[in-house]
Amino acid sequence: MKDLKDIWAEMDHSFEGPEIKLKQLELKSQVETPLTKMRSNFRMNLVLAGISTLIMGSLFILVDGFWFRILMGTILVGYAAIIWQTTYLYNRYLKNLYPDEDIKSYLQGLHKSIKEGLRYQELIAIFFYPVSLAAGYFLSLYERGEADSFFTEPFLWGLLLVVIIVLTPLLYLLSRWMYNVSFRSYLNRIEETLNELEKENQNEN
Amino acid sequence: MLRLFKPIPGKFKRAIVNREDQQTFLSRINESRKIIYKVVNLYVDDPTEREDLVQEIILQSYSSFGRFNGDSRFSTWLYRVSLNTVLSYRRKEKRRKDAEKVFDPFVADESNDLKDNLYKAIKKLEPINRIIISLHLDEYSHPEIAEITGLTENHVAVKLHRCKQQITRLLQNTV
Repeated sequence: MKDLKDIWAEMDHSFEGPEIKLKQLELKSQVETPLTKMRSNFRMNLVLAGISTLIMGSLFILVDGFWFRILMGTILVGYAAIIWQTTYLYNRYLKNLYPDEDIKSYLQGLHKSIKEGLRYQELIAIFFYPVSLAAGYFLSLYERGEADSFFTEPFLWGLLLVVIIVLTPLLYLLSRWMYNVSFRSYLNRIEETLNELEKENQNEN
Repeated sequence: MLRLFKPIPGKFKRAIVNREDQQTFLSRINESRKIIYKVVNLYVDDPTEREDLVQEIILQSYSSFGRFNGDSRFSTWLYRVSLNTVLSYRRKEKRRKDAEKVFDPFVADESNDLKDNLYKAIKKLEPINRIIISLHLDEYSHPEIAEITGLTENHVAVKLHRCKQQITRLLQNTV
């Protein structure tokens, strides 16, 4: 039998593809990998978080109400933390996809950090949903000039409580759904790739 | 064993900004472009996906070219970029199954042809093994194969030995 290297060398010309042209360096990528999809979703999240922060910051300045400002200030601090963490994860793993690094280590780090980071954000959000709802509630009270009567009117207390009890789980479910749409399927695909690479090693050990 | 966590550099050493850099990149990638087509052919069957992936590898290597510092051969670096891009690209199951049915234009009909059989045998190997055997057949050394695949040299040697056995078995079955 002919040596495998000789046979392979005879095939070499078959891999000669068309010359790469300058204009190809300026084309946009057509390939959607879990990494490119997550990168665009991270960018979108950051833009939306930035817009929300601007709106909330404007309300913080414009609405003159002590309790509203306390609540809105708390939310702004939470948003700042989430934006900081999202930016960190984006810069660390997705801003430049590191195609010349050890792919397994890179994907493992990315998968673990992003999954944990997003889970952490979800848990923080459980605390912030009631605060956000209360801030919105106080905003309407200040608009109607009823904020001062809040602490003396049990009905207004009760109403806020009902709003929080009903809407917090709904907001949590909404955020879970958004997480699933934006990230879960891509994280799962990365996990499958990692499992395949791991399986290859196990098969041979 | 695959290499443990390796720190990822935070920034490119330099970005490609001028025409001269573009031309340097173009001439280097064109000298080694066979590598891109070879890797894509080994992993993807669908012609449209192949075209897209070739383009993706060109873009990925272009954006990372600033970090290529000449410690290894350009071809070794390009192999790694190509392999990583192909491995991180994961098609949805349905498309994958459909693609498996697509006839490979590279593979001729004459099944007794040694070249075709070798190519088919390599494509039957596990993903990482495909690149290991093709690098070996391209005369890459064990340290270079280790660098490209992220495996240790010992692991490369073990895998290579098994790949050769598998290939020989597959070829014997077809002849």
